[in-house]
Amino acid sequence: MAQDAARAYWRFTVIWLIIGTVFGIFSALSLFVPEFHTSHPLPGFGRLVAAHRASMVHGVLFSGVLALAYTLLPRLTQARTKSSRFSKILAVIGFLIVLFGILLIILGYGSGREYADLPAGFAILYWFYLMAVAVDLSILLLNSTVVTSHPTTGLFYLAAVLPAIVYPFALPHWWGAGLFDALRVWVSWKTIFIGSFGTAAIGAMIFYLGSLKPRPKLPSGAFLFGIGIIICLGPLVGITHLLDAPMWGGLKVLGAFAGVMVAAGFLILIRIFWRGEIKGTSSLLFFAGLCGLGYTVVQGIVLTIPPIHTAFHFTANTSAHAHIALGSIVMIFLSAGILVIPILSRRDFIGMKQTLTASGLLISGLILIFMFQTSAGVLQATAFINGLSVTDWLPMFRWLQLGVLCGGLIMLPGILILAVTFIRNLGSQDRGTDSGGGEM
Amino acid sequence: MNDGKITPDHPPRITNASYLFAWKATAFLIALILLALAIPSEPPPSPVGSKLKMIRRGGAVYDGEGCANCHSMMVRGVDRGMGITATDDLMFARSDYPGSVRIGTDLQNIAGRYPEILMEIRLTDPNALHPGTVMPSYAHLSDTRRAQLIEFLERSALIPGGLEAIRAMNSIEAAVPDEVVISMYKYLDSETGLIITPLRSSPELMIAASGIYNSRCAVCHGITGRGDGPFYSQGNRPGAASPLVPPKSYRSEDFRDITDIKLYWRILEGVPGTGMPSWGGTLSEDAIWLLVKYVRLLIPDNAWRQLEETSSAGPGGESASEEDGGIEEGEESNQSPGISDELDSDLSPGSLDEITVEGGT
Repeated sequence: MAQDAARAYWRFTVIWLIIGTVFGIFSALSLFVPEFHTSHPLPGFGRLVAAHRASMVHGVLFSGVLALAYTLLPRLTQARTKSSRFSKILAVIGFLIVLFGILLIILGYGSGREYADLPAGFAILYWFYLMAVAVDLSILLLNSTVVTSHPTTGLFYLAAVLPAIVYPFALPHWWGAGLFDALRVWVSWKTIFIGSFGTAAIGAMIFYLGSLKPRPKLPSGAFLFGIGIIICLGPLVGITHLLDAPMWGGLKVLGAFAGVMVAAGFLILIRIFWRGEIKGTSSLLFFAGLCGLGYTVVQGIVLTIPPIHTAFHFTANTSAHAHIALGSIVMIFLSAGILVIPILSRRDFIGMKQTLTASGLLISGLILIFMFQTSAGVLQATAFINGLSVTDWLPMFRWLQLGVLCGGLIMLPGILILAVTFIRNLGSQDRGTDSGGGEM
Repeated sequence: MNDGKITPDHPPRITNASYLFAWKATAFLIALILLALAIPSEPPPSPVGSKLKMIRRGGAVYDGEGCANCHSMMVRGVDRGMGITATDDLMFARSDYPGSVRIGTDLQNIAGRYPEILMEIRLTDPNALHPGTVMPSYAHLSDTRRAQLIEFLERSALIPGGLEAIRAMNSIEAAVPDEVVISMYKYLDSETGLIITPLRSSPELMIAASGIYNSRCAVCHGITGRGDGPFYSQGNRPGAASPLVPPKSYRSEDFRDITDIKLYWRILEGVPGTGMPSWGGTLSEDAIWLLVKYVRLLIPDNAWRQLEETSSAGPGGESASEEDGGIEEGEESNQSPGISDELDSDLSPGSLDEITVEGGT
């Protein structure tokens, strides 16, 4: 009963994954065949891609973080939320806010701002919702009588509560454009991506490694130190931007340093996976997600070098960067789901074979999208450096979008299989018992 | 007992209180009507307000349609041949997106570059203009929303400070209505805030302009713009009820420092209460700008005026101007100042300055 909210969040995660992927496929289609919209009254690329981003970030990633938090925190802390009904109602409210926000985006009332903004009114509602969730989880933590030393407790709590603190900076039209927009981007979205989604993914990985027998030696504190610096760096860079202070370059160096530390931590994690047995669906998705995140961190460091940043920032390479980073986090969330849903349903995960096939499709599709978008970015950057006009490289760019489209089409059946499997597993739990805690 | 029921046998009693109530109600109604009449009716929406509202709504369409996914709205240094874009240039974009910004053109300064019909085609059937483009069609937008979007794109170059700043920077006279200034936005250079009017100045065009002037304007304004056209030089129009006031000479103080935009406006709309008709319905916009350019030649500039004042000030001044080859009164009455010379040269506003200064030294 107390886990109804967790189940709801897992369901919403996979439902939004399907919807978001469909939006993504249509976005790629509209770039490859733009004439498609001439004969059909469908929304154009601009609306579709905004809906894709919003559904992936608000629907999948936020739900994934909260699914993990609501599944594991009660067990790690051996405590309950104040009201399980309230937690579930909150989950449904969050789903509805995102649903109506995305409907408005599809109807052409998006905020037009970068990343994944919901229309202004819905973004404010979503902030209230995030605050309510933070309060709900804080009460859970306060109710705990067990002092746990498990590091994931803090990570999941931070991942779930941090968005409520930084989300107001993300509200569209709050800061306006220009200099303030930089603050908005750095303080809010980059902190949410790294501090919430990234932290939850790392928590899930540590949780997974901790459950292995024999338990491998986890990365040293430097890894977590690096994460900590990156989380703090976002607001710092934003404030420096705002004040137009000369510290900006220094902070970038600090960011690169923190990135190197995190990358080192990822390498250690990858080595642990590589040396151990990578078996089963869960560890395959974990491993793929880990490699993707590790690459993203290295790429992030490289992108801080000014000439490379200048040549690549406005190209499709940045889209590839976002796809591989957030896609890897989604894969880690899904693999964590495969790991923890049996705890909710009190039985083994059913449909492992199908899930393995689905994971293969998911990984292949994401790699294709990444490869073709990176190629498109290199094409754009090369054209930019050589002073070529758009018409010179556009035909090739268009064909590269076909590769992105194919990647999406390969991913979709995998996502459908995963979603069906997840929902089947979530629906087959033993409803007679309340798994409030004490199972770890 | 009737129990207070009102029947034909027991009609209601009309008391003084009833009359009083009727009077009060009537007075109240009259007061209400008077009050309603006293409240001024809502003034018609000002053209500036409605334009700005349209621009704002167009901005919402731009955001909602996700145009920023492919287009930037900032002046990118690299587009202006200013070298590599600084790392943080994106901060100054209206909305900065990572990824595919370089697919589309920068939209910051497109105001006035394309006719509206071309913008319409670009939005509804972009492939017709650029085969192979990845830009989708926005034919699904309603006519109103498309018009708002075009308005927003056309006016995106508005400099900070808006209308008042543009008036101040271009020294536009207060008499020129706002809508005329707004109609000049298509000539606005967003970087300097100056309105660059389409004054073209090839000799062939000036000959054409003189044809328009001589056939339509000279009858009142005179060939040289002194207001001594044949219509008035005879003293009066035949059969006119009252004496007509001839137009002011272009040499009068009213024309000192007059802006091209005010000239354009006067030709376009005429001058109410005078014999100056509106040429907006007869002449094309290009023809009116040609006339502005030609009339500009007939208006002596400040250096010329100084020269005239010096030559007419006294014997010393007069002799000095004569010695230096200055222009005499008689010459002025027969030809416009330096117009024949000007036709062969670049007719920029500054060129007349140079000629007159040379003549005076």
